[in-house]
Amino acid sequence: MNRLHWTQTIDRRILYLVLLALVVIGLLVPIPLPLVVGPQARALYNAVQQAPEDKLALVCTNWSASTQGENRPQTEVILRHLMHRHIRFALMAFDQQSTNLARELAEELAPQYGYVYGRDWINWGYRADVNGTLKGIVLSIPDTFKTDSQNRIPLTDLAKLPVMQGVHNTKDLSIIVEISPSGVYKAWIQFVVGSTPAKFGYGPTSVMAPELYNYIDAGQMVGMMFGIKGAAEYERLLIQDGTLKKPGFTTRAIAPVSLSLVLLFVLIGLGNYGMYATRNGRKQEKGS
Amino acid sequence: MNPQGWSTTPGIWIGAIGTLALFSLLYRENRVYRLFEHLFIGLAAGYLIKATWSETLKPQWWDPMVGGQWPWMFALGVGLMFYTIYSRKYNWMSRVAIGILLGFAAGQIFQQTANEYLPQIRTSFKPLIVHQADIKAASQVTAFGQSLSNFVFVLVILCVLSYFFFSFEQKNKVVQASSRTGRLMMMFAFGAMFGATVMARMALLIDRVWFLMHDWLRIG
Repeated sequence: MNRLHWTQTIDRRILYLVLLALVVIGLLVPIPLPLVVGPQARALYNAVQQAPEDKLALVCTNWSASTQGENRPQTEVILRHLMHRHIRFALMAFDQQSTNLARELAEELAPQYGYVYGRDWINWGYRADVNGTLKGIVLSIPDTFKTDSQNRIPLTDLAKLPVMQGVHNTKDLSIIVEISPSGVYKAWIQFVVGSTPAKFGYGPTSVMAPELYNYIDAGQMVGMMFGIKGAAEYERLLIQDGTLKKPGFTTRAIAPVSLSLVLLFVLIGLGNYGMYATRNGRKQEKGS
Repeated sequence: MNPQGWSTTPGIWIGAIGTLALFSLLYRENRVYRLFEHLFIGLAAGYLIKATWSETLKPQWWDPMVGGQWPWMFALGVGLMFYTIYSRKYNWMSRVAIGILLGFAAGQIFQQTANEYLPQIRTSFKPLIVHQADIKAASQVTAFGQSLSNFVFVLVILCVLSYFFFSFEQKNKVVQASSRTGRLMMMFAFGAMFGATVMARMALLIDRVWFLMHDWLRIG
């Protein structure tokens, strides 16, 4: 029996424990790992930074509890950036959980920046039909959503919802950012992107990010946040420009992400090497 | 350790117990895991029904209908026609509703294809020789670097496209080589996607561990 045969019989629960220990250590102990801001996150940051202050920004969130580990930090950095620049914004969702999760996040951040619901931000709510809704807002936002989600006030009632001042359709938006683990971004590109001067940015989960470079290359997306790493890069930019005073959970999470990936590299290498060594050992035993 | 100790919020405790119950599968299959799995599925399904009614159907359909816009009542009839698919006698009615939907989808597909793919096809035509004057002033890329980048881009596109030549047998050695290269390039892409998938899963784990540590145990 080869001396590396043990690598083939490690109880998976031991690996889980090692992984958990690394994650806990990474979260508790500050490890100063380098974090280079990529061009995609920088492009999205620049787009938000250059968005006109007199227009409404739109943040479409389609994430639920299952991917909030990546999508919530992405939503948070975008909302913080918009609020720091005093850009009024609207939330909308094509996921039934997301409409409340994003609203809770906005309500948590709003007092820090003096944002008032109805005046500085609004929640248009959840819609089930992606294509119909997006085609609708290209023509008329008040006709598509009719009322806000929280108080059921008509979007045309500017006395109660001054945030909707001058907002008729997607041409009146300053920037559109979608945060999502789903393929809804395609519908935005298919129905909305060409119809408005507003740039379209995206916050996907890491799983989806590799397939999105085509869209960035073609100019259909202005930039993106590559999962939690992209959110950390964006947070780094917010710290550099003074929007954030100190790093948050996102930056803290990068160390355990890196440590866990290093562990996986080691385990994959060790497992493969052990498998080949064991196989060669068996061949030699048969030959002798 | 935070002097406040463990969280006293019931919602945090429910979340923590649910998280630990689902993580218990990592040790081995057990009834607690199954119980919480079914609870989660039931909650999500129930929430979907509630949200669809309160966020879409009620404000968009019910309220206008009872508020005087009575023609909205016909939408219910058209919607119910989908369910006639379960009846042998009346399933022809479902075809009417499905036909309407298919018509909408077919009409939209032109716009969808044109807006999604044409810009990408257009930008795939890249110059193989780039002059310094074509480079943006602020860019740190050299003309040679951009030319090389464009050459690799075009080469990979051609190789990958040649892999999908299924209309004839690939006997030509040039086509065989380019097809094999195209397959190799796609393997690189799949590897990148798999690596990104692993990173996504780790991020989700870290979020849950942070919730248990920070929100529940008040550590860190």
